[in-house]
This record gives sequence, structure tokens and C-alpha cells, in this order.
Amino acid sequence: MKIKSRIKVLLQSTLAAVGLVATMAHAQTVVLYSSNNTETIETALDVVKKTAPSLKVQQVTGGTGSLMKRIQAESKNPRGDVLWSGGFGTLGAYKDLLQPYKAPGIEAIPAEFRGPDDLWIGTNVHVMVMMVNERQLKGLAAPKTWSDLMKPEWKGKFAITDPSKSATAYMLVYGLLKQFGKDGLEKIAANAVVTSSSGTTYKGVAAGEYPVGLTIEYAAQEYVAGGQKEIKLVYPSEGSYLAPEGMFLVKGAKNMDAAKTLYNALMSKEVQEAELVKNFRRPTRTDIQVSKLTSLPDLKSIKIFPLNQDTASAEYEQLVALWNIAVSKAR
Amino acid sequence: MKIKWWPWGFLTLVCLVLLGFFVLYPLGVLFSNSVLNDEGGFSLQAFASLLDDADYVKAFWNTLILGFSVTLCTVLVGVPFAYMVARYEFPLKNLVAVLPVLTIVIPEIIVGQSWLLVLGNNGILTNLFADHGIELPSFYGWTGMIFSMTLVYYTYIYLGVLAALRGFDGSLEEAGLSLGTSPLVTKWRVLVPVMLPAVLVNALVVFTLVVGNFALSMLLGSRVPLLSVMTYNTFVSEMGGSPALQSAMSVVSIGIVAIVLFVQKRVVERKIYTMTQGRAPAPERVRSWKSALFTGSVGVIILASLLPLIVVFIAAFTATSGPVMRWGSWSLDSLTRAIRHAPEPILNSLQYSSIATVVGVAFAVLVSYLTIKKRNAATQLLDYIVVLPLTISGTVLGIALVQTFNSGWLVLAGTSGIMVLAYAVRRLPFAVRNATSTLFNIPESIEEASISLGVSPLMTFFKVVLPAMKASLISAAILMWVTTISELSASVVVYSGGLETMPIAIFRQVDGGRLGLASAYGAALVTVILVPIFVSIKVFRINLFSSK
Repeated sequence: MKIKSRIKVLLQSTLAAVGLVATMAHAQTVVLYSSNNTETIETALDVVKKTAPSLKVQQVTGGTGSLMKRIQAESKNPRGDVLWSGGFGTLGAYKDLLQPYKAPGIEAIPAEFRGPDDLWIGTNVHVMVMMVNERQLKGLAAPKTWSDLMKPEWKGKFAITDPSKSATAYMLVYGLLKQFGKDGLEKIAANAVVTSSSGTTYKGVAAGEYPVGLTIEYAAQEYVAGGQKEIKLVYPSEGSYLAPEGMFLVKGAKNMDAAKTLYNALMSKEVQEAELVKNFRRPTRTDIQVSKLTSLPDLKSIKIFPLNQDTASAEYEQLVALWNIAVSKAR
Repeated sequence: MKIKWWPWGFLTLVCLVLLGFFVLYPLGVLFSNSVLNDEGGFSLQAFASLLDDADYVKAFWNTLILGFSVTLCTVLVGVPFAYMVARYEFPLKNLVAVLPVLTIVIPEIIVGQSWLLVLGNNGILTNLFADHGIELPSFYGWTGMIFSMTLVYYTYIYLGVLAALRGFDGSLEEAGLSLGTSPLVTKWRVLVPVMLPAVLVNALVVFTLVVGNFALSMLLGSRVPLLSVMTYNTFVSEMGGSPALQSAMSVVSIGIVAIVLFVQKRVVERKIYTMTQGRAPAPERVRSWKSALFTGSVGVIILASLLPLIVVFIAAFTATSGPVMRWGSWSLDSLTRAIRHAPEPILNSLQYSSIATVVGVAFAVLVSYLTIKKRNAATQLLDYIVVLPLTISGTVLGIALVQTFNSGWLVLAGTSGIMVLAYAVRRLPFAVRNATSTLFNIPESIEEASISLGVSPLMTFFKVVLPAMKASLISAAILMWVTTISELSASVVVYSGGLETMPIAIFRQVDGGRLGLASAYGAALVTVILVPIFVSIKVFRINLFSSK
């Protein structure tokens, strides 16, 4: 009987441990799915601790595409409450998973940075740039335009993220298609090294794996501000593309009230300013002036090739298919 | 012998049910998902689309090539190393004693991360050479993978060959010499048959580990398609959709390893020579240039093996500006952030590994006792099933568990239960092997004496058998602890909100370019691994690796 009772105690202890964790998880808890890196999340949550001290935020981190598929997989039994930072194009492809919510103080964010029917709200806006590692150029002149990368000498010399793996990469590829057409996109695809996550692209440029990466402003700026002298940002003179990132409440979220509290906090001026200063995340709010707080230019100083976020969202499937064909053709 | 139903027959059944539900059932789900189409009918479409996928076929062959390349390199490093240590006396030789401990217990993700810090395109050594006009080849891809995997896995060859050489009877060599054969020919004809089985057995182990490797492939593979990375990426892409493709990929991975294990069982183990009453020749002391050569060789290998440990601790105390390491500037920020601000990965790792270790060791003791001391058809079946996880890489195991326990009457996905389960199942074969090796040495007469004096079989087990197994139990527990706490490839698949562990945190931080914070978690992980090993060797005087 002893071994039987020991096994029983063992199982009970195991189940108790699991139950204990589950119990703690429900007390004022909100589960945040985030594609942001640790510092970005920490910066926001440090502010949230002051503005909403009762919240206990649990995190799941990963790429945006991965997290969206996870939310989709869990839709019958949602485990996440808030998703923070997905590109509008990606969010638009999963509208059924989003819970509409009109947050107080929403007027500070311009209409172009809000989702339809209050499905999501922009928390920051990325500007597409070319991140250059001068040490790896080896005689090649740094590119000034997207078109430069279509030239034969750039084959295998720059990285771009697969648009089905990253919201920002999707907007980048979409912008290239709109500005240069199918032929232009195919030339880019023929020369590019395609990576499987946005982190791989900018980390690869910083590590010297690629001379140039088509990536987002904050990611490149981190290395510049961090003191890596060979890293430079190039805003293409033909016009950059914007990729606002939004957050939403998960439909059917188990901790909806706590989720709304977190949602309100993440869009606040305090959080957006802190993210700009510490992590170079360009705010969507109009009451924050970028050039006064960082060395980055104000949005109005950058030439922007305008993109319609709704149309981008609607054309998601076609663009990914077109990109895959272009990549296959180049192989 | 026929055994009574109570207690051993009943416990055998309990073990079979548990293994059936947590090992066989998930594998069954995985296999069935690979041959079912979206309408639930039978289909081989998933396998057909794999053959049509040029990237997948390339990944398949790349994985085999990588397996052979690394295995060959580990033999080229491990065999000469073992021979030097077994047959010669030279300075630094005593340092070799710590080598197997360090190389086996350093998590692969730390090895990969450290070598990137040193030899990556922006690495310390790379930049140092570049400043002097020397361009090192890119570490990403084949170079980095073969290099780092060789350093991780050569220890298996080294330990196996060392054991074989130390069991070798020197009188055979003397007999050859006295019959007039030249020393070189004697060595070749006598030593090779003894060393070859050890080399082959451990080479096959290395091959399976390389094929299933995830952390180093993910960090260093760059543009080289590989099965383990592709399977993981397919799993991520297929979340919410049909699991057919990831299942088919997983089945192929299982197939490769199963074939290798079959070859090992049927071919290699038949050739094993066992020597009894062997007397190994005394080590020969070497002089002058030979001494320098041997010391130098050993020194290089030791330094290369230890470097990841050194680098990860230096990096943990190095100041950072965002993703940029400020070498030469010291700071406690990374460690403070890891330990105080975001301690959850550390706490989770300690919790899951503790539970998995207790569960795993208890189960392993029971299973090994049943299979060794109560042998019959049922316990024989138990013996086969318990080693099944060896055919499954971590990624594949994670996929099988998620597919099985995401719905139905027992939902573990999203709970710490699935993390503990992944750990325990994955590492159970090691614990069983450890427990089994000691049981062989416990005479049945002691047990029978206890029973004939009126003590019940269960009481005999607790009072006689368990105390005799004490050293082995501690050894198995520590091995279970070390291997579970550094586990990544299964847990990164099954984890969700609030369940992040240290290896997952390291993986995420490296992936996000945060090498300072990754190193802080890495230092914490290595500390948690080394402390119990140190305690067990110094306090309990247990030779952890004698039974490996």
C-alpha cells in the first residue's frame, strides 16, 4: 500500500502545484500577447505599474504572425486577452478574432492610425528604412533609393523578411508593389535574402551577416544609439512606407475588464513618450513631438509614399501569393 | 518466472497505461494526423507535398550531411583525445577529469550564443582580426554548425572510447609483440577491434543528436535549410490550420532516428567484445616535444570546450546599450533585470525541473526494477516503450503533445502540466538507463533472504533495494535535473502564457538581439546546473558519469 499511497501523494502534489499556478493566474491577471522585445514591454509595464497598479500582466512573446495564428488556434478557448503590436494589414486579415472597444481619450490619435469600427488602435507607427552596415558594404556605395536594390550588383546583399511572417514586412512588400509594380517587386525578390522573422533581418545586419536590411526605424536606431558606429539609417528619397502597429482586445477574453485597463494604459501619452525615448518607437499620438525628444526626424520631415491600410489588409492573400511566386521565380 | 499479480503485476499495468497514454497515444495522434486530409479521410497528400517541396528535400539531405559531417569530426577529435588520455601521462591530464561534466551540461543554446559573440560576423575575435586586415569566413551556416556541434558532441565519443581503452587487456598487445609483429601492426590489429564498437555505438548517438538538434541549427543555420528548424517553423505556421504537414515532417524525423537505432541494435551491438579480468597497461610518460604536443592538444580542446562558459559569464556582467554589447564596460544591469525584474523564467525552470525530476526518477526506478527483476512479456514490452522517446527529437515531441492535449477530456496545453510532461517524457530514458545499471549489480539473494524472513515484497523493495540503489538514484536525479532544466526544443513548442523557462528566455533574447540579457539568464542557468553537480561530486562522492 505504501507505494500506491506515495504515487497518490505525488500526483496530488503535482496537481496541486498546477492548480496553485492556475489560481494565481486568475487574480487581477491579464495575459498579454506581444511581438515586442523585452525592453519595450518592460518600459510600458513600468509605466503601467504606476498608472494601473492592480494589474498582474503575464506575457507570451513571439512574432506577430505566430501570435495571430495562436489566437486563431485558441479561439474556442482563448488564453490571451490583449495583443499588443500587430501591423494593420495583419490585424485586418483576422477581424473575427478582435473585440471592438472605443477607448477614452481616443481623439489624440488621428483617424488614419485607428482600425475600422474600433477594432484596434495604433500604439506606434513604424517607418520603413534601409539599415546599412557600412563595414559589410565592401566597396559598394550605400543605397539611397529602393530602386538601387533592384540593380544586379545587389544580388544576395540585402535581407528582407517574408511578408507572411511579419506585419511590418508585409507593409514593406506591399509598399514596394504599389510604388514599383509587379516587375519592380520581382527584381527586389530576385536580389533579396528572405528571412523568416523581422528580428532575423535587423539582427543579421547588425551582426554583419547582411550589408543592408529592409527593416523598421526603431530596430536600426537601437544600434545607432547603442554606439555601433558602422550602422546607418537611410530614408529612401523615393518615399518611405508607414506601418502603424495596433493592439486589440481578444474576442472572448477571459479577463476582459483587466484587458481594457491595460489597453487604456498602453495608448496613454505616458507610455508612448517612454517608448519613444527609451526604445525609439514612434508614437501615433499627435501631442508628442519626436524631434524634441530624440535624434529621429519628425514624421512631417520624412517623404512618405502613402498607403491605404484598409486596402493593404484586404489584399493580404493576393500579395503573399504574388510574393511567393516572385521568390520561386527567382530561385 | 511467473510473478504474482499484486503488487508487481498491477504496477506493471499501471506503468504500461501511463506510458501508453503519454507516449504511445501522442505518437498515434501524430501519425494519424499525417495521413488524414481536411475531411478526415485517408490521404498521403502531406507526404507527397513534402517530396514536391524543393526546400524540404534540400533540408532532408542537409540534415543527413550535417549528421555525417559532425559525427566524423567528433570521431576525429574524440578518438585521438581518448587515446592520449588513456595511454600517456602528461601535464594538464588531470584537468581532463572535468571535461565530460562541462561539455555535457552546458546547454547548446549557450554554446551557440557564446560562439556567435566570439566568431560571429560582429564577434570579438572577428572584429579583432578585421581591424588587422584579416577576414575570417562567416560563422553562419555550415562552418558554425559543424564547429559548435563538434565541440558539444565529441565528448560522447571520447567517453566511450576511453572506457573501452581502460578495459583493454595489455597482455594481448604484449603477446602480439612477442610473436614478432611490429608495434604499429599490433596496435592496429588488436586495438581497433576493441575501440571500433565504442566508436560506432557513440557515433550513432551523436548522429541522432545532430539530426534532432534545434538550438544550434536555429541560431547558426542561417540560410541552410534543416529538418528540425523547418519542422518547427511549419508547426508555427500551421497553428490554427491543418496539422498534416507538420505531422508528416515529424514522422520523417522519427523515421530517420528509428532507422539509426535499428542499425545500432541489430548490427553494432553484435560486434561488441567484452573483456573480463582485463589489466590496462600503465600510462606511459612522455617527454620533451611529445609532452608539449599532447599538452597543447589537450589545452586547445579544453579551452574550446570551456570558452562558452567563460563568455557567457563575462557577457552577463558586461554593460549594454540596447542590443549593443559594450565590451570592457562592466554592469550589473543585465543580471538585475533577469533576477529581480523578470525572474519568472528562473522560477518556472526551477519548478518544472524539480517536479519532472521527482516524477521521472520515481517512475524510472519502478520501471527499471520491473524490467530487470520481474522479467516477463509485459515488462519486456515496458522496456521497449520506455526508450521510445529516444527516437523523438524535442521539436517532434512538443508537436505531438500539443496536438494530443489541446482538446479532449484532458487539456494540458497552456498549463505547466504540459511543460512538466514534456520534460519528464523526453528525459525518462536517461533516468531508466541510470537506474538499470545499478540494479544489475544487486544480487537477488539479498532480496530473497528478506522475503523468506517474512518481509513483504513491497517492504523489501523499500528497505533493501532502494538503499542499495542510493548512489544511482542521486546520479539519475542529477542527470534528470541537468537535462530537463536545459531543455529547449520541446518546451519552446508547448509553452504559452506565463510558462517561459530560462532556455526559452535565452532563445527569445538571442532572437531579439538582446545578448546581454540572454547571457544573464545563461549565467543563471549554468549556475543552477553546476551547483548540484558540484555538491554531488564533492559531498556525496558520486561519479556522475561512470554509468553513461
